[in-house]
Amino acid sequence: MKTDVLVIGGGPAGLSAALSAAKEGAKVIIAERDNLGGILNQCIHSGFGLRYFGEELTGPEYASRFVRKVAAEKNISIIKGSVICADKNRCCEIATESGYESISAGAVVIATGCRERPAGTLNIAGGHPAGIFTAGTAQRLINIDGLCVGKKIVILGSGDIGLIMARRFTLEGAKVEAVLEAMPTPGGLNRNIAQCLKDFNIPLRLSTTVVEVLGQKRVEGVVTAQVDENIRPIKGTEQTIPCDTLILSVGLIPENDLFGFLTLDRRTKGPFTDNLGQCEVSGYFACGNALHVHDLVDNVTYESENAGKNAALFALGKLRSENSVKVNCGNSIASVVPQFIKEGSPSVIYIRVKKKIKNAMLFAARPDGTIIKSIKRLAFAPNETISLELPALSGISYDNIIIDASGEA
Amino acid sequence: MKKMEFTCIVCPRGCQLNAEEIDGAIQVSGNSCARGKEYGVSELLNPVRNATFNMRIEGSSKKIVAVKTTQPMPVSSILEIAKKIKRVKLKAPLKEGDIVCEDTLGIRLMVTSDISIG
Ligand SMILES: Cc1cc2nc3c(=O)[nH]c(=O)nc-3n(C[C@H](O)[C@H](O)[C@H](O)COP(=O)(O)OP(=O)(O)OC[C@H]3O[C@@H](n4cnc5c(N)ncnc54)[C@H](O)[C@@H]3O)c2cc1C
Ligand code: SF4
Repeated sequence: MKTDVLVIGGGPAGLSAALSAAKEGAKVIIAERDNLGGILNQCIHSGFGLRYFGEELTGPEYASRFVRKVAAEKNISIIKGSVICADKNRCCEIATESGYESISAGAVVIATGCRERPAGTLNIAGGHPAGIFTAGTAQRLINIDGLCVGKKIVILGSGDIGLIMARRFTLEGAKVEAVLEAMPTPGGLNRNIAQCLKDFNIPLRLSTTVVEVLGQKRVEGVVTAQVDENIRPIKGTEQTIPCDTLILSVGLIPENDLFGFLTLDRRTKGPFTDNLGQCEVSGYFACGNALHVHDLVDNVTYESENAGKNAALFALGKLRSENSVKVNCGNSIASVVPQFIKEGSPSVIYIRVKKKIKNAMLFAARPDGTIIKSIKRLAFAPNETISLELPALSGISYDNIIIDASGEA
Repeated sequence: MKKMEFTCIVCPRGCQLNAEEIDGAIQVSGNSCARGKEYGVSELLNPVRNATFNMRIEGSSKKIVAVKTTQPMPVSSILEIAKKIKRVKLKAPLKEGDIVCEDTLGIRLMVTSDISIG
């Protein structure tokens, strides 16, 4: 089978990419192994769409707005199946219920989302009693399958999913004993700390981790300890919290296993892209959580519309090749996406800082120090993605720009 | 006298707000704009949120459906509502936007996805 654009993954990233590719006149196929809408189907809380739609929607509502549009678009067809291999020449194999399907695409959009860091990557003593779940698994069990996961809960990790699950457990009638965070600052958005923890008096313990899980058959408790600046447990600070469930919310990793031919950025764990959403291998585009872990779905949508549009232009032979500059991270910057900027098109750079900086200025500068764009804020913190919009660069005589921040510690 | 210190979450700037009741009037400081002041006043007097809950359903292969408040509701009654609606079972079919449990403490709850029979 042949198509102009193959979109792998039908979450918010894939749906938006497909819609904007179809708008350019391309024939589009979305391959989705599960339900359209992706992770949003289990994110029943509200807080989606404030920027894109100007209203506060739940995850399923945000998704259904795009699913309906996709259903009405005659240039988009959906294949229910799992893409199991992909090559540099944009040939992909999809395993479906009725057998294999080979698709040769003019352009491929990677919109496979991310997966959770599993329990095994943590170094916790104790056996493997029942009652240890990743936050996303617990979220699916509760919000999709309607199951009760536990009654006395400890959550390790203060990323958004951990915070949101703390509130969900509370509303389902369970008691959340504490949310623990090994870092000295919380991982999730301020909004979620206020609305998920403070509203329900759930304690957040920073610089604290779990060193041991107690219990043979079922979790009976956890031993916590404070950690030093190198995240090593401090002897003598151990405390036992009785509980029947330990929830791990210790990070998400972009899902790119299929694309071994793409080099991944060690900072974001996603592929390198330019401001058109294009990967290093020609004809491949990436967006959404597969590219970098987003905290707001609205940004996923904007980013994916851009990638989808350019994938269509590429497939239809309308994408011009331009000079590009590299986007470098200054000392205060943890990551930037995209890592390259093509001349002639504007860009939105998504930036994370390493540490909290107060009275801060974030800027993009040329190698000679000339500032291209800057934004000022009272503070930039590692728990939020900052977006910096840059005008189209033209007539460039340099090969890189630097993103950095200045201010007080 | 009520007094609170918190981060404004209305926009990403994240101003550190101080809200205090002085002689019956609410004073907010630390805000950079009017929206921050409004937020500070409501957080001190009667914080409200949009809340979502899972409700059981009968007559569908799906076991639960998520419902949300049609308007922000007081934080102080979120847990009470959660407990009340745990005992209620909704009947399929349901459509996104259907209003259910209208009499629950004056809060209107709206179904957030379509649920078909069987
Ligand atoms: C628990 C949680 C809470 C969140 N809360 C908020 C919030 O309050 N507000 C907000 O704005 N944002 C929130 N977000 C962020 C936002 O939901 C995500 O950034 C967004 O859903 C990412 O979209 P995506 O399409 O990239 O990935 P996903 O939604 O994960 O979609 C990826 C899709 O690809 C499919 N797929 C993967 N591999 C294959 C393959 N090989 N073949 C076929 N299909 C494949 C998957 O089945 C999945 O459907 C939250 C995220 C999570 C996880
Ligand atoms: S006070 Fe105004 S500027 Fe400051 S965070 Fe609140 S809304 Fe933003």
